[in-house]
Amino acid sequence: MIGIMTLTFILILGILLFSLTKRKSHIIPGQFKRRTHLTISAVFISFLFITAAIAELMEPFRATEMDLVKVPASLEQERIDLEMNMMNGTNVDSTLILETRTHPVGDTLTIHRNHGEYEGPIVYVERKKSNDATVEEIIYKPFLMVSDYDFSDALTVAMPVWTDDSVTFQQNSLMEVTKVSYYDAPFLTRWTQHPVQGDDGYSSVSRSPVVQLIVPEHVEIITPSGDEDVFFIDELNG
Amino acid sequence: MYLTEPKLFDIVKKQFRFKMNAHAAAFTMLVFLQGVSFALELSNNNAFNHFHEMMPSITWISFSSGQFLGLTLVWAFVLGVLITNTARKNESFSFVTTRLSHHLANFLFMVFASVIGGITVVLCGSMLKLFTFFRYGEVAVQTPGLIAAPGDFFIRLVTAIALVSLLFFIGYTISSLFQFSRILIVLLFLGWMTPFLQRFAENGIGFLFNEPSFMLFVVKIVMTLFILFGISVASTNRLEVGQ
Amino acid sequence: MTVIHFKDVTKSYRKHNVLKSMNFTIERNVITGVIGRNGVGKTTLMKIIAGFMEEMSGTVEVFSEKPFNNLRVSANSIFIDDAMAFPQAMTLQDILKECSRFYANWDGELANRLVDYFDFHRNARHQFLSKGKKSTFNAIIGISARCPLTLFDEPTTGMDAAVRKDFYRALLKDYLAHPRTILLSSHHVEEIEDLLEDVLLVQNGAIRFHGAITELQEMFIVLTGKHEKLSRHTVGKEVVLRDTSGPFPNWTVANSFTEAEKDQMVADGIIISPVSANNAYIALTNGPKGGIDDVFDRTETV
Repeated sequence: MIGIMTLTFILILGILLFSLTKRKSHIIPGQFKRRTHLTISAVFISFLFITAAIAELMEPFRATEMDLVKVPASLEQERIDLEMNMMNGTNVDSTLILETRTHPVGDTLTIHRNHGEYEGPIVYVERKKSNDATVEEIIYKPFLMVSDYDFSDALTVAMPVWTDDSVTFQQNSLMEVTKVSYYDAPFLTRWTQHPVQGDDGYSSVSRSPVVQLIVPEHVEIITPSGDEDVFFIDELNG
Repeated sequence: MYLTEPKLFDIVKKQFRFKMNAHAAAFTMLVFLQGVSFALELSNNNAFNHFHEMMPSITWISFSSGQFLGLTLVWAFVLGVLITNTARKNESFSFVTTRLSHHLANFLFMVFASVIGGITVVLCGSMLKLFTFFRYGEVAVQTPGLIAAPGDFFIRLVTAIALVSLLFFIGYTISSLFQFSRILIVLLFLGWMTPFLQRFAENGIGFLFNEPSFMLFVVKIVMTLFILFGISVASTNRLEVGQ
Repeated sequence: MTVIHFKDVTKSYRKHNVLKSMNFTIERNVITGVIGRNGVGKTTLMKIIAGFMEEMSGTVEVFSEKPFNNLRVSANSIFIDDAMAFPQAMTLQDILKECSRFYANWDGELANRLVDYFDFHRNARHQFLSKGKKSTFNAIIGISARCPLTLFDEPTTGMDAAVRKDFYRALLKDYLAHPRTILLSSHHVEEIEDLLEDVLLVQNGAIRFHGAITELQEMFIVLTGKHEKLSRHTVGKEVVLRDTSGPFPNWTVANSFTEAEKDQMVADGIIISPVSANNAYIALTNGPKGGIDDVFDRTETV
């Protein structure tokens, strides 16, 4: 802040010295006459009024205002804490859950991965004592936040496909999303109902969908593609 | 030949009209700068790309009217410095004036130019918005416009005018002090390096801009303008013309 | 009625005293020539009257008020010099229009006629005019403004002889039709002597002479005759100029002769003639140093 101000000060000094040494310092390349200046200004301002009027009238039809919502800090924290809460067995906010399903299961459960490395959901397996021959599946919403703005709604989840005693996880949909946004100079919005911060660099936080499988204790889990991308909560908790 | 009995207000009015003509170039400069801002904003690579192997890719293109505000503030500051320099002052004294009426006319001119500057900043924002509507169809407007939030629109307008006028008067005051004494400005500059003045400046900025109430913010700005103007008048009221 | 009154006025820049104790009074509707050598403070004097500069001590009154920072003085006076500044975006037409707003007695008709007469292009811009044209245009403003107090500081700088003559003629005509107080500074005394009523002769930051131009002339006489006769008759008199360029020496002498002395000189073959205003001015301002000839005479005698 102070550095910028010092720079500004030097700039000021420069201008002052310049205007002093050049007694007839001109504000602008002075080729125009008064009338020309006035005409240019009048035309510009009229043009601005017209375009601004059109813009303001169009806005209700073109603006997708609700699309960009700031994520409350509490929600952001909860999203980030999801995995930890899951492991600790703490209750997870139900709004983070996309779907809960139950599937019948025999003695084995084969987990297939129909996608490249790290391109599918994150899978956690939790063991349960009761042997009811069902697997509970909880699918948590993925999220993506860019500079605190929520782009999660743009994400679609490819649901795991269940067949007898096996589940196949699908590749995350890799669609492309383009968002266009407009905001007024942040300083001007300081006292309005909708202040914006401006972009002092973007940061993003994101996570793929998380699938939690609650599997009866005796069911053997087979992972043909290796163990690495399936987390066993009991093991993690040591 | 009878003597005219001039009224200060009358002469200020005439001087103001004169200044409007004399500084007509200033508005062309504003038009030019805002055209440049527009070009910069369009050519600016203000797109954010989020690529993540596990995630959909997000391209976020954002447009802002910040550029217009920035350059308009620079314009106001430079103009504030230039309209009080010696050459400009001598021009006023080619006609009927005193130092006070010269300053008052400049005051009116700066207020007028600030209003024009502030309005064009906000309108240029709308113009940019219109451009994005045509170019991209649907646009997320993060700062609702005139119809969605008329109050916000009005506040932005007033804030823009307040900021532009503040920069005008800062430039004007610095230039006036410079005419009063060049040594003073050098001292101020050296003083700037000391923590005391830096803290003073920070406090001043905080005092104005960290004000939560909009009404109080406007009141503080108006007060600041009058103080700055008072300093300008007091520091140059005995300066001689045409040396 | 008194328009300008100076009492013990001083003014200095840094350590250089420009005006040292100025005392004079100028009455209403008189054309006064402010004459003096370069750098004696004519411009400073006029700028103080116009309110552009402030006196350091003493009293200055213009229309019975202190002129510095005085709106009434500013509205009733105009100061014309070749450094008058106008905004560069303004055309001559624009400037004339501004004048008509500011000056209550402005005669737009006259200004237009003068602008046409001196072949100005109305859409031209002041700063692109030549030096002489600039001076002419400024002078037009000075005449047309018809300010009760009009100050011309070297108004003819850069003008050619014809334009100069026209300007003085225009000024005189307009003055006769609309009398006002005019101060005109110049070092071309011979050009303005027909125009002036009074002269204010500034020398060494003080007023050397203030009065009618004829009075100035009466202070000296010119004697033409043989050298030894001139020497004999001017014993004890102040000889201010010795001009030896003609067939007979031509001496300008302070006029302290009695009628009897004059008769004697005429009888002795000396021709007595009045001095021109210009020579009187030179005689008065040369002072004890003598003329430029004396510089050379002295070196020769050493």
